[in-house]
Amino acid sequence: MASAQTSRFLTLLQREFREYRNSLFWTPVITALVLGVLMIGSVVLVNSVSIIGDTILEALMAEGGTGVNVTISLNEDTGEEVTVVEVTGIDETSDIPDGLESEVARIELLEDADREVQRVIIQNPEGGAYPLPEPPAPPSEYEVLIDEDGEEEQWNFSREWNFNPDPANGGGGETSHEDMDGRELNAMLGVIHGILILILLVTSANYLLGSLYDDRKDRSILFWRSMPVSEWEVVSSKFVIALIVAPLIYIAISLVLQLAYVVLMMVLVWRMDQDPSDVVLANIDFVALMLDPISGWVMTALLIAPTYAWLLCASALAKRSPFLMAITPFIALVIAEAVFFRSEYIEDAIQNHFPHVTEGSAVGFYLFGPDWTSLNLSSMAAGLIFAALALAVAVWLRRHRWELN
Amino acid sequence: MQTIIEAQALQRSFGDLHAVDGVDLTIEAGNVIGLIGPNGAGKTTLLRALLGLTRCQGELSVLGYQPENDHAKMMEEVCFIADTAVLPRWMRVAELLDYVTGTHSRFSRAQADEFLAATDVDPKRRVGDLSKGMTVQLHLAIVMAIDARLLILDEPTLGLDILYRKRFYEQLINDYFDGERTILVSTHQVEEIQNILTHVIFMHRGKLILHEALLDLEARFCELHALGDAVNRAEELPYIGRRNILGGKAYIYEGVPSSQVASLGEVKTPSVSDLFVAKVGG
Repeated sequence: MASAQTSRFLTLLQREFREYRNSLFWTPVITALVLGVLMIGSVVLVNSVSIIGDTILEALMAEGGTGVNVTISLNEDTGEEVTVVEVTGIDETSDIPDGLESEVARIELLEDADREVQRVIIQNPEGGAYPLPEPPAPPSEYEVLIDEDGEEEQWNFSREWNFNPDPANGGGGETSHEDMDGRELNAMLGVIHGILILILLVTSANYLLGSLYDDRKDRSILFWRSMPVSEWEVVSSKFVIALIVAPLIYIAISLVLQLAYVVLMMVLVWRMDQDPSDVVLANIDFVALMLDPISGWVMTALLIAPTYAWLLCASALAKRSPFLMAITPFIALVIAEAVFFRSEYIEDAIQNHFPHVTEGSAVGFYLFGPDWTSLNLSSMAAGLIFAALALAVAVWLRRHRWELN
Repeated sequence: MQTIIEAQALQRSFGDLHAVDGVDLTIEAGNVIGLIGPNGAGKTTLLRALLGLTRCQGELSVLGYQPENDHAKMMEEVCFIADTAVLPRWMRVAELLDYVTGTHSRFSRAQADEFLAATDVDPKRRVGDLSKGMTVQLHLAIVMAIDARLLILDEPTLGLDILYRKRFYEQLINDYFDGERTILVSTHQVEEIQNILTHVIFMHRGKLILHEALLDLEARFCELHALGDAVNRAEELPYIGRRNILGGKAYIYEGVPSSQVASLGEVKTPSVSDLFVAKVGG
């Protein structure tokens, strides 16, 4: 009996997967392929400086005991991408390797209050491998500005990307990246994973909003309800797809993509005449690479379960637009609370269970794996109770209020 | 005879509209019942109430189940075709069969494949790409491959051409109906199904105005074709319906022995559709 129940449930999951195979499978596959092709492109055209190249460069230098600070930002006016690599622990201009010197358009010497900063601006490097500074010697610092005209199209998925892997930057000759040791490239791969998670969240929201509405709209609910399947099974199968099955698919694809990136990075580094195992493999913690996405999603799932359940509920409730049905009550509640009580409890509650990244908090996106110590257990429990209620309401609506007119 | 459906004082209102208005209904196993009524008579609402798809007041038991509470369990033994366009359009035929195989314990995949092999429905095609007639054939193949006790059809052939309609009902009676199963079919294309029915139910404005075995119609109703002067005498008897025919009028009487009117002209049993017009449109 139990196995019959299981196979029934698997049939329901298979049905969901088949209906939404585009968002559940092809979307992440195509995204991964596009990201992979971009990476291959940057390996083939090594001279066009990319974030990946810079990050590897940074990792390489960090490995040599130097603090590196890479900032990539888009100039709002011109759309130019500007990459700033700041290195501490390098003494003289002569430390800039020969290859780089040849492309230095101008060198500005800046007088800083306490330190001497050399700013090297490279414009449109052409031909040949992107030169790498040698692992450095005594302290001092310089700043490299890479002016990359017209090269912004490849990686402008984020307009400003600030990455400072070494919090002890400038803290003297000794590096203190215990957290980061051997994991420098994990963070970069984490960004790749973040892109897929973002797409997962968008497609999942779309899936959940449509899943209890579309069949009412096209009247196929009359067929589904002519089958001996209870609405509990239907609603829970959709919930399980969004919360477990889809993330597993996306995470699996993300891991394949990340491993492909590792291989491509090794090729890239090899083309830069460096040792791939030293530069790439030594900077990746493979256990974390495999486990962070999974533990990260476990935490995400526990937090966003109420959001997903509410989307299902809105989908079952909506007569016209599940999306508006999902967001308007909460907007109204937040405004009403702010006006009448001057408090933000609802807003906070939503923020605790809605995927986001800010400086102070994050749900769903964890560059270095989830931080379980920061988990607010009572908020999580309240969210799970809300999720159970929302699912129960969705089932009730599905049974008694499914007609659209 | 086993009672399949037992309803008392069944009621379902939408605002002021009483879609089902105090229906008492008993249906025994092994019958083919035609639920006949004009548009808006409440047929669909009544069938949905029987299936537990809509909430209603009153007593209701279908195969011993409370349809609304035991819906999923009841659907193991009840099949339902809602009308021509409810199969999921995005699905491929083979995927649809996979789904039914996986969720319905009484479904025989082999039998469904056999039924489908006799049609033009290609298992690889999407349901949305099938013609209306083929979609209905597919749905019927699925339903016939389920070993159910009660089959409810709500306007199953609406919008189909005459060939598909004829084939649909022929197949239903020849390949599916075995004398133990019960089929309840609603339609307003009465003529086409009256030869397969054992019972008729007339529904009008939410009420059942007739529930009779087809064999008993003969004893209860008669139709007189009165020509010439006979029309005046026929008019004096309490008829429930009349219409013009060539050279005279046709009258339908309820509870008048056919021997009493036989002297006035040709007497026969009224067709279901004429009877329906007489009862409803009178």
